[in-house]
Amino acid sequence: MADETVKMEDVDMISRRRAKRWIPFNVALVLPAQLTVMAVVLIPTLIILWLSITDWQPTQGIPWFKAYVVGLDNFRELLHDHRFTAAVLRTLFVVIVCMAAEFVLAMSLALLFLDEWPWRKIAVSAIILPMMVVPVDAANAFFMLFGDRGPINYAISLIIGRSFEFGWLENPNWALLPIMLAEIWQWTPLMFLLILTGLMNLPENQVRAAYVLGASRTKIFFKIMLPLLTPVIIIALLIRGIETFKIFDPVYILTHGGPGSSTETISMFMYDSAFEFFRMGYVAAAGLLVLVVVVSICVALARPLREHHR
Amino acid sequence: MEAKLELKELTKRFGTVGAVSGLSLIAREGEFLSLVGPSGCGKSTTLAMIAGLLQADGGDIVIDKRVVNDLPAQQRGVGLVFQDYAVFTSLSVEANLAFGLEVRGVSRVARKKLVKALAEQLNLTSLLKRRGGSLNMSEMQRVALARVLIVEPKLLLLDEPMSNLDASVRASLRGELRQIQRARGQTVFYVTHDQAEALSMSDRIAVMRGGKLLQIGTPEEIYQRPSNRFVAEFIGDPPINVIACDVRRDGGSIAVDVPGFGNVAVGRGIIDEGRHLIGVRPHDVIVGHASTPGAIQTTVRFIENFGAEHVLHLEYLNELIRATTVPGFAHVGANVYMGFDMTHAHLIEAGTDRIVPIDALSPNAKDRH
Amino acid sequence: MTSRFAFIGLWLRRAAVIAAMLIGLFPIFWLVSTSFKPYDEWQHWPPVWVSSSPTLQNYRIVFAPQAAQTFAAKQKGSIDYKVSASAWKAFRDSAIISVCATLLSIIFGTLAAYSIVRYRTGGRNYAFQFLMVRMFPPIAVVVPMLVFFSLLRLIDTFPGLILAYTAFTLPFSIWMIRSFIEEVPEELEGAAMIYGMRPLQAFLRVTLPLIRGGVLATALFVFILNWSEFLFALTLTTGGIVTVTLQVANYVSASSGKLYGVQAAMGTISTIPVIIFGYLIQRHLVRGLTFGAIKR
Repeated sequence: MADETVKMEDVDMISRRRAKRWIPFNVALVLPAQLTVMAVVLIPTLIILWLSITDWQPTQGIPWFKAYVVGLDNFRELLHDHRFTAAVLRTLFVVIVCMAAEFVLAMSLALLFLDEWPWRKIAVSAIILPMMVVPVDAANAFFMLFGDRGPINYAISLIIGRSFEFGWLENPNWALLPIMLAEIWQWTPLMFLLILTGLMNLPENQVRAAYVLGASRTKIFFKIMLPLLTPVIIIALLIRGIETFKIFDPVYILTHGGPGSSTETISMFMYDSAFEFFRMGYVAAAGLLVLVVVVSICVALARPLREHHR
Repeated sequence: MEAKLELKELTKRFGTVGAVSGLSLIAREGEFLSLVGPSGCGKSTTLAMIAGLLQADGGDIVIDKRVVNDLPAQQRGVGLVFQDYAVFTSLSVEANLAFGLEVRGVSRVARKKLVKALAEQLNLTSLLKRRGGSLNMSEMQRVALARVLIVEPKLLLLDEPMSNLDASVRASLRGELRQIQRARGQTVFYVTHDQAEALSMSDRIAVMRGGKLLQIGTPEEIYQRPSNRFVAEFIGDPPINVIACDVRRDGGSIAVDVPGFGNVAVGRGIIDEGRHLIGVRPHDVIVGHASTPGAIQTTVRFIENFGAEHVLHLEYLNELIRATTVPGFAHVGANVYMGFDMTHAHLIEAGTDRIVPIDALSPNAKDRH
Repeated sequence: MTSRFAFIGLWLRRAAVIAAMLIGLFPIFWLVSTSFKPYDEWQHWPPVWVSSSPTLQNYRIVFAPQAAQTFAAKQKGSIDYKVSASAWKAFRDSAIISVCATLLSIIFGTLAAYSIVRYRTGGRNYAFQFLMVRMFPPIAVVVPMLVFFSLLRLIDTFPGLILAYTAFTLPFSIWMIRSFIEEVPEELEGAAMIYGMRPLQAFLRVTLPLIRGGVLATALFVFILNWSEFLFALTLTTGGIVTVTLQVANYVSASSGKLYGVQAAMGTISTIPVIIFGYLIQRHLVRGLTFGAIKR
């Protein structure tokens, strides 16, 4: 069908020839977006490339382009920096735990919404409310909830029968929990919405056909529905995975990486290195490492996705 | 022959609308029974109830002498092919075929054998490794068919299986389907809106309209002896001509007069005097270039070309009467003479739309034999 | 028999749904409830669920610090917190930045999306580079951006922040609007052009009105992202510009630590527009958050 209709390129060839000045029209249209992105992404990346091989700190008093070059020293130091490697591992831990929890919770919940019932719409609206709250305010709410005299501790006190005034956020072993719970609380609704959309778009008749052939509900779910949901699940995990990896707001608000550096994620580590220790060159190197790793993973994972999108 | 499927006063309502009302019929073992009717007549709803996807509001569904109303779909022994085939797109064709067997606990070895055998029967062997989503429509249809046949259902339900296919593919598939059905002795319940399809494939046809069963019978019975006007109009292509007529009682006989033609037939039958209708098939409308007794002059308004025959649309009062002729018989605007061969015509009672059986309906009783 | 089990299953399922709803609502309830609590109830044990003596003092501190001071002087036990500026400045700053950044993002994004869809500008993979932007951890970009901005004297300025916000929301704008444009057949513009319209005109007068619901939803979506943004506001400002997300962090006193009630009040008010907009665009949320990959 597409072969017979007039193609855009053919029709406006005429007007393009007329209007041909210095820049082709279609390129001019993307320029504003392209330039904005270049200013905020490309140029900083170039600056990072430079800074990462220096040991520049603003407190040195020399301008950044005259900083002392130290070659790959920053990178060597990073790889031996326990704090950095700990931050990386911790971030990976957070990503895996949060994503797994969000996925399981969202999938279980979404399956409950397959049929219709009177207050279904209200239920969906209530469940997705957390993802529409400003993350900083949500983090503050969780700060209050997990305070040593907050409702969470009170609930636990009721269950175990004695007073429980635990300082979650001051405990190096447990402080990561409120952070992860805040993240899971806020973003499970998003996963839920994505998976629910995928489930609603499933070809109903395939499920019905399996049912008439005698398959049990579990068998239908695992053999028919799940494979059909795979593209949606991959997109959801990819998008949430990247966002979780960048996690900053809850960490800053709830613990600021503490106590000590026990809840320091990569973003928090880099923030402190930049704004408390002012080691800009070092931070640049860290940033570069992170960038390279994240981008290559994304490119590798996104390739099969791109084909599917077409 | 045993009744494989019996519907007793089957009823389904959606709100106040009666989608299916008091439907009763029997499908015999090994029979190919078609359910035809216009869109919205309730045939798909009936199918869904037999399959177990919809609960009936009233009446019984009996399969192999067992009332299955309260049984879930998988325990009824039915196989269902959806209109869109619903092939499992993420599984291979082989996995699709093996699905029903796997669910029933058939061993892997046995599964492979059965799949291979059925694939050969249905010409699917070359497709076995392909993914369900990569097939074209007619391939999907065969896979959907094989998928249900492999579990040897008591009753095979087909929901408009040909409507998604190209016309050229349909003809060959009709034959294939019938062959497979006969070879396996499979009882088939076939839902379609295409009356030609039903006529060509079925052992018996059930005509539905507005949720009710109008008539059930062999293709010959349905075509030649429709019980009411709707069946006569729905079955047969090109459609039957329905023309106003006047019925006079003349002693023990009745005489049928058609405006413009005069008396066209006499016979015996139970019907009141007055305005009624007759139904004359286009093949029974005689068209000639010369005047004959009983024929009137008319003009050809337009012509439908069906290749082997033409259908002329002839002026008659305010309507057009369809008549079949050989190609090239006349051109648009030509003056011709038309008359009716009343041997197979039907008398339709006004008001009830019932077709009244008439003895010896012919212009001259002598011409009957 | 099967129906009885189905009945129990049904109740379990509904209970699970209700539990999920309650868990979702509770932290927000706590936030709102705390915003009305007087000082002594903030860290009370056992915790106060709903205040028995609700007060507007927290809101006064947020919006009218002078009135709050007066009130505190008259009412014993009421907190008095000296903030240099009321939160109106924060709302104003956030509004300016969010609105401008959203406008720019939508305009640039629409033009780029149009070019990408109708002209296939840059080839098949051009649009994916905009996705890369979202993969960058913002913190990695902040340090060089500070350097870059200080060169251009953009630190702690509206244009600087607007630029940063625009760039980071462009991926959403471009991909979302792109998916909307793709749903409109290009033959419509072709038909308009046969009547003499120039291509861009045809787009603006034929296609755009058809997708204006989608574009509006994208705009609200981008606005939500801008309004909720924290990291850039934190690092690219030095105190001159304060967004609502920063303002909340201001309500910390040296002696009492975080002023829960005031932060709750600020949080409640600042999150309201986001919640409203979020529900307005509920239908398009899935499309937005997956960059147009998944549509209802």
